[in-house]
Amino acid sequence: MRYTIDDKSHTVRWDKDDIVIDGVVYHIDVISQTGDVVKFLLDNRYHEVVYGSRDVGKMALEVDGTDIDLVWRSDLDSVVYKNTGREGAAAAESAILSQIPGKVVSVAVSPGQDISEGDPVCVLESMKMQVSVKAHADGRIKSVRAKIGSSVAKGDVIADLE
Amino acid sequence: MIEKILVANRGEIALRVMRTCRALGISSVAVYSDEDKDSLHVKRADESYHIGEAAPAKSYLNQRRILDVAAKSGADSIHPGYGFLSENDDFAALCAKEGVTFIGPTAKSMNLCGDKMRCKEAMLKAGVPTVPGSPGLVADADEAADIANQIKYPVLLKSVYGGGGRGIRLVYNDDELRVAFESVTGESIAAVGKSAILVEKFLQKTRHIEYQMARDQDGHGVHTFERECSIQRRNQKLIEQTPSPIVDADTRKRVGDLVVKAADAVDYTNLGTAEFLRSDDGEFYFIEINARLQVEHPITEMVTGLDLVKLQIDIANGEPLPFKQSDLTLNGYAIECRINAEDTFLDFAPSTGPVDRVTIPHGPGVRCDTYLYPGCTVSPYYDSLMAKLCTWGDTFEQSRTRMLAALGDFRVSGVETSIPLYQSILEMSEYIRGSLTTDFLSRYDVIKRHDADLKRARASLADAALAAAALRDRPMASPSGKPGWGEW
Repeated sequence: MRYTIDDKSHTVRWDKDDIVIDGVVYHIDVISQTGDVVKFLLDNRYHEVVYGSRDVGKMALEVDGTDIDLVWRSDLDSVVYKNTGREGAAAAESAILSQIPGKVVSVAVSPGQDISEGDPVCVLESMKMQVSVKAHADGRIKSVRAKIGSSVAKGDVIADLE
Repeated sequence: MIEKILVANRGEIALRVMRTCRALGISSVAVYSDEDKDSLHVKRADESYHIGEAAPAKSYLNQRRILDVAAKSGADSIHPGYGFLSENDDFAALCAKEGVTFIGPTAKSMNLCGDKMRCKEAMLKAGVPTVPGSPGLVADADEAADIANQIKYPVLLKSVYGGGGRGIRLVYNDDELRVAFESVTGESIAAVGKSAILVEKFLQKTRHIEYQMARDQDGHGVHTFERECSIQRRNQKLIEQTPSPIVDADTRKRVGDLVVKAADAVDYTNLGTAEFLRSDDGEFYFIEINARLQVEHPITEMVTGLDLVKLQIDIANGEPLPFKQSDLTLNGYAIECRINAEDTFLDFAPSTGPVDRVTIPHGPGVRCDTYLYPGCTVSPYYDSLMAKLCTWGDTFEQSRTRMLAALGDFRVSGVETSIPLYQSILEMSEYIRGSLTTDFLSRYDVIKRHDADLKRARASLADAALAAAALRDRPMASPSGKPGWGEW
């Protein structure tokens, strides 16, 4: 299997009960593998890994407390990814998303309004701080989903762009 | 004589106060909001009472409700911690009126400290230097802009009711000032229901150095040395240390004498902190008195051997200070890292949610004050401070390496934390040689360097990550011979 971490390509495969990483053979002792957590000794060094979200061609891991994304988009995966329309959506980013959880204090835009990158879209309050959500691109507001007084989670759509 | 203390706070500081109560044989009473019913301070207190909804205005700021609990539980005193009601002189006055001892300064002294203009006047009269700024409150953004142009940008807009970095904005021109004026007003009204704004010159390349002070009811005051708190983001402290690498023995005494004068000038009682900005030419300018126990008090405890909460209780009991200035010595070095639930790469935006796994660091010279436990939740309703990690050493280098080791042991799942950022900062040569300024993060391009550090860390863990991926794709038999999960 081929993976990339920070754009650096690696290979990993099993050789009986050993793991071969980038051509080097490692001895592995699994201590436990329960739920989303695996604990093991890799060449006698202890590691604790938490499996996070798994997306098409991507796996989020927390390795000894450090977040690491493994990407394995093979040629086949790329085709699947494209056919689901996700790549196009990701490129255009037609929605303005909240990057933090919080309560909507005010909304600065309305449908039909033209906005530029960096314009404030709404103000969220979280942990007693007011944080303004800004547009990531130029566009026209199609609809506003955030309502004053309501709570939004990280990743929720604040407004749709045309 | 104080025998039962209601702790009008939550989180790590409530636990901190209760720990001293227990050590002194004093009963503790916790109060909690809907959001905190499963929080540790509720479980550690001798008694706990529900006081309302999650929003602070409906619980931890509800003066009537808290005093009713004091009456009901028979608490003879209230410790306010920091934040919430700790610097609310109306509350201190109400406590006095109802015969409950408020563990802190008198309402009158607190009112004077909280009124930044009158406090500044009192300091000038006492010969304590202060920072140039508006002579009083500014009525609107126009007046603020006029003053800003007189004293020259950059300036700080400060809410009189702010504190702890909230209700304060740094602005470089009229446009920024007008935007900030609105948000400071909004934050202040959201937090305390009113707003009043001052303009102050922003001194560049400054250090934030503060002195812990203590003054008894007979008017005898001392300082228990300085803390350097220059490493900040959005005017909120991240890392503090004592002693300051820039303060020599003569300066320590010279400014320390000013601190005792400052405490006299506002007839301060109990513990407080006098905050100064030190400009690059070595001048110290008084900024304000924080009329409460500070977040970063543990590092002072580490180098003085004092229990500052006990000292607060003793002073509130009317006891004289048990030492003179000349009895106090500074022993060793201490550092505090504020472990916040926040995303360094999203402009320190708050990160909240359930925390399934926690590992708290221990060891010689390591202290961790925290509300975290496995299964707890980091709430979006309250501030982002989850833990205060402090280390002590004979030398600065020992306190620093102990901190690095402790940060490495500290694991918190489920939320983003500031731990990795601190690991980067403590390894920086600028930090090691004590080249600290309040704009440390931007001056030394810390976030970008931290990003590079993380990339190196990920590279060094690539083998483990790849092994984990291989295990997930082909789970193998565990050593005991039982099949691993998901084996097919």
